Amino acid sequence: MRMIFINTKKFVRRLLSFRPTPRFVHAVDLAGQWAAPIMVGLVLIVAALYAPAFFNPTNFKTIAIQFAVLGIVVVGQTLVLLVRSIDLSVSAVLALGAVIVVQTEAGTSLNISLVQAFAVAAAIGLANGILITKRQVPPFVATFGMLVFIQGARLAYTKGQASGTVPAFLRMISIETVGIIPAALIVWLIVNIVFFFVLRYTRFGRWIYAVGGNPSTSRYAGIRVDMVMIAAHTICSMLALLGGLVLSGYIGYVDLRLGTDYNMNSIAAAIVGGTTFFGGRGNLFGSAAGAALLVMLLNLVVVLGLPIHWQLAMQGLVLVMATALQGFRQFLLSR
Amino acid sequence: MPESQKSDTSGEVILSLRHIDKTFGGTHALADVSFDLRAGEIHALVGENGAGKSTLIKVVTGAYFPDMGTITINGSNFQSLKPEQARDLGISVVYQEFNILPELSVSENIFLGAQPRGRLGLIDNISRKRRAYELLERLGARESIEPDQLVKDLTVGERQIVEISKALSSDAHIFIMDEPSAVLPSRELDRLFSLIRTLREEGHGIIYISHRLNEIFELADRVTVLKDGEVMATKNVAETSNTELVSLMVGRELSDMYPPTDNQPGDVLLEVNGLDVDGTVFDVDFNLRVNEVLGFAGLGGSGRTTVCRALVGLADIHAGEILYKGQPVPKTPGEASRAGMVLVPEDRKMNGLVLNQTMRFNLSLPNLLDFVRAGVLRSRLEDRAIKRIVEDVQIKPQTPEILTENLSGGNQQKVVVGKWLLTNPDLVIFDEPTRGIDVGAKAEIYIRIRELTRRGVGVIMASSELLELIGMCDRILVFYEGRIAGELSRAEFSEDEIMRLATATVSTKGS
Amino acid sequence: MGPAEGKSPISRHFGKSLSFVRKNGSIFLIYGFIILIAGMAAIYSETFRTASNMANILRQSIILGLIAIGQSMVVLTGGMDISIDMIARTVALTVATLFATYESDSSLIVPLLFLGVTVGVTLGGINGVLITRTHANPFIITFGMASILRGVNLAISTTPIRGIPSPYLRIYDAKIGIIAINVIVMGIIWYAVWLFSTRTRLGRSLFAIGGSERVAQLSAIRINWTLVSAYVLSGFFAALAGLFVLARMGVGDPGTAEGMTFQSIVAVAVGGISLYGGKGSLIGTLGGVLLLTMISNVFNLMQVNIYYQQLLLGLVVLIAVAAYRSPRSVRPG
Repeated sequence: MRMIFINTKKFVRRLLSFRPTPRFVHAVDLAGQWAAPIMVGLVLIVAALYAPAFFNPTNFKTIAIQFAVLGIVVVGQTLVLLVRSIDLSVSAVLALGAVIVVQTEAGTSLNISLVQAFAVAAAIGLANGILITKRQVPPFVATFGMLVFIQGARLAYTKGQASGTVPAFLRMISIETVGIIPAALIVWLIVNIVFFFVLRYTRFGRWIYAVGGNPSTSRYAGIRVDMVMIAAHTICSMLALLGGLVLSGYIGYVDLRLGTDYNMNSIAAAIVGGTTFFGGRGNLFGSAAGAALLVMLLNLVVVLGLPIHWQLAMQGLVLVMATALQGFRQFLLSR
Repeated sequence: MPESQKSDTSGEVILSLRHIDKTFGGTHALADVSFDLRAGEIHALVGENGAGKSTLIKVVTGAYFPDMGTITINGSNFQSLKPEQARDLGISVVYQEFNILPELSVSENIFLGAQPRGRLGLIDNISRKRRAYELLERLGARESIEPDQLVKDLTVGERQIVEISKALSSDAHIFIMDEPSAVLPSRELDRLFSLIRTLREEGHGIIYISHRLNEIFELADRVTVLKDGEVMATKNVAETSNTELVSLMVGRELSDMYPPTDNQPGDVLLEVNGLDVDGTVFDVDFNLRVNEVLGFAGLGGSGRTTVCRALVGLADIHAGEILYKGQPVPKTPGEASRAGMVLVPEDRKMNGLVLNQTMRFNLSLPNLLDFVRAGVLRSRLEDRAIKRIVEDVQIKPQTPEILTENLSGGNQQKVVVGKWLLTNPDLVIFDEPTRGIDVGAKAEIYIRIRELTRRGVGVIMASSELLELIGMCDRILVFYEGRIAGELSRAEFSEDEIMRLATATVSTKGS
Repeated sequence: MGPAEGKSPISRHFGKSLSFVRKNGSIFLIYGFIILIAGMAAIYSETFRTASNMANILRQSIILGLIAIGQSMVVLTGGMDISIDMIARTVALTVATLFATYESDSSLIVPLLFLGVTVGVTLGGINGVLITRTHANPFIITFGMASILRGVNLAISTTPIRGIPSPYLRIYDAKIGIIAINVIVMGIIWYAVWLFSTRTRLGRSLFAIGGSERVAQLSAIRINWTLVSAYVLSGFFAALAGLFVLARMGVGDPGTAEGMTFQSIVAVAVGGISLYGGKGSLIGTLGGVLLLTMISNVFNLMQVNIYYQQLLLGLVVLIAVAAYRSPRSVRPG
């Protein structure tokens, strides 16, 4: 008995006084970057072994569309994370999309209501950006406040009841397939190609990495840091809206409880994919892999017949683990 | 002249460093340094930037482990110290960056982490305030500081006193003060000095680091001069002079590290009149010509960097005008660089580089517009420009994909210089261009600067390295406390003279 | 304040009281608000004026009060506990389930109270350890923990859990005259917490860390230990809140404490504790709690649409957030 106790004590002490070697640091860094694709592979293997129903074509279509929606939102979140900020209002904006379109369509054409929806989203993003840059509100607080505000505003506007089926257009960009590929995936692909291009091949993309990597240096280099951040937030909100429209197209009717998990999931997906909270590091591939991982995990939960609340727990778990890993990695790198 | 003369046999030795050696990478920071401090003594430590003062202090406080040598404190010998040990042995440092919490009261700050407890284990506020009161009284500050005041309401000088009280409260015996007068307005200096004298009366030992030689003659008992990591001399203050100290600090052969000064200054490029910046810089006037190197000398905090930043639009200009090429100067760094005026900032890690990105990323950052065709960045254009500048400035290794955080200091600095040179500027402002880099890289940067002045570029160089200024500049402006104390032309260059102006030493030539 | 040589005693005294007002400005503001709104409500509404309504307000403030206290501990250190409402819920549901499983045995009340507290403290401890060991962002970790717990709570039950022994309900009901005993107890708790935050080393360390981790570390404050304690305390008070709600509802409510994290943050921020940490007072938090409870009471009496309540809350938040002043904008002395 006593021996075991002593051994545990020694073990714990060694664990706590652990000093990281350069190789360890490097390993953790790599793990942080490649975590998502590796885990995607693992999930596929587990699915193949334990839940063949996972690969059912209908299931796959569901996964594909959910992945597309999250994938669109995560692009915006990645941009924001890259500039050392964060956007917690995405879930509210996402839910806003269908609401605005349905409510306003009654009187006007679809195009106008779409424009209105995007304008609102842009305004929200702008507000976020301005609060963060000009009023120096911490991003977490600013976007969290915005989240509550939007939710409240939406509830007041719809008086708690919203109904109606979504316009056919939304269904078209979502569920309709081109061959076997759902339209949602095509939208996702377009978004990713566009922003991949922007990040890699335009000045704005460089500015994003510069501002996130070192805002002070960017300022000295003549980059308009505030503008870049406001732009990132505006784009993020607009992409969140787009995601919401696609999601509504999939569901078919307006649902007020839409998309509450998208906050956490978009952040988790980006973080798992190698983007850091600290800014300046991350890319769209990783984020897409992270989104895929998350969606597959959640779907796996359902397919395996586990109760639905496991989903929530799973989301939280991924977020916590990803954050812990990232925090640890960041900490090691900074020493 | 010093008020109380103490012979150098007063008090036993409480701190002794013998044959301390410390090397970092290629730099020999401390070479065979021996130093001792006595009880009841104020021992000044002087030397240029980079002479080894802060390394020495870090060895004493346990932040660095010496490679060789022994440290003896109160009779016990150590090869090296851990910070907790140093603290327990009574060593305490007062830095320029205060370690106090503005939102808490004076007494809480003094006893932070060690608050006295009373009944029921609760903190005894009354006892704490009383003890704070006593400390403040000992230091002669009872009149102006209340133990209940929030630190954020105190002046800089008062905060410093809180900092010192904090050290006293932990039974410190050896006080190290790193340029304490640098942050104080002149009216608060007397109080600081009498406070330090009080500490001496109480039998403590004080190591006083300062650039201001007149203070040393007013306060200190002994003085040790460091130069290039070596102890040049330790003398009784009464037995030396300002001139002697300065020559010990700086006397060096002007090496052939500096390219020949064969540039021909041309037309006026920049005119500054009556510039007031930020409430810290006043009434600055100067001109800069094409192909000229204008130096900014002065102690830390004298306003050099503030003026540099103001020129590119990074500081608040309260009054005055700046004319660049005859036009009012652009207000933002972006506009300034487009107009050809660029700043190579002082702190390359904080303001000059995005460390987690590649060399290529950093080099092209201000130049992206040059590589854009139809809205898209063309890598071929970028590669070509990068290659050219890497060779030009001699950055090693030459692979653009290397992360800047993995470069040596010298190469990092070259990246910062390179990225700005790539913009083809007409006016380059260098703020501490060779701080913390090895000799080879320094020489290479000097060559670049000289080349600029052959090609029609005007250069401003702010530096705390006197030799560098003397070797490179055509004229030198010396700053003191936010104003220009004097201007020297090349014929008048001398380290003594610059130092004299920089420390506002009243000229007593020959004393 | 410049050099004070030659200040007369009168001007020093004046300076002292001025400094007192400045130091506690936000507290004066908040209580001023409370008096203002209470005054207005008392004029307009007869029901509001009654003693029983006042007593009601005090009792209603207990739950938010407990959670706000827990949140204050964490916010003072510069962090935030997003999971605090879920911890409360987990405790409530766990204890309710155990009561139900053991056939409402009254002798279980005391042990289960201890168990509930232990659960809360453990969950808080997990938060704390995760945050300190991995140097991760506290917002995100507690955010993630919140959703893990949300899932766990749904797993425990999605319908109300019956089977609470009736003696337990006395926690909520016991009164002396019209004052509930729990209000008195809560008052004692507020006092104790205030004492903790101003007169214990651990309490002051929370302020120190929020002010500057670097300075705190240099003053030999054990950062990790203190941070973990902050989160443990948060879990502790969350547990108390959960146990209290259980007594109030009489059943294990799967919707326990919904949205209270956000309310607690509003109460804390409005009460003068800076969201950056390092300054503020529990007295202010009490004010914030009372203010919010009172406003909610007024709204209910006036039968304001619940959605407009939400909107208003959100608006208040946005205004508070926009009026935020970054500490960095303060000029050094």
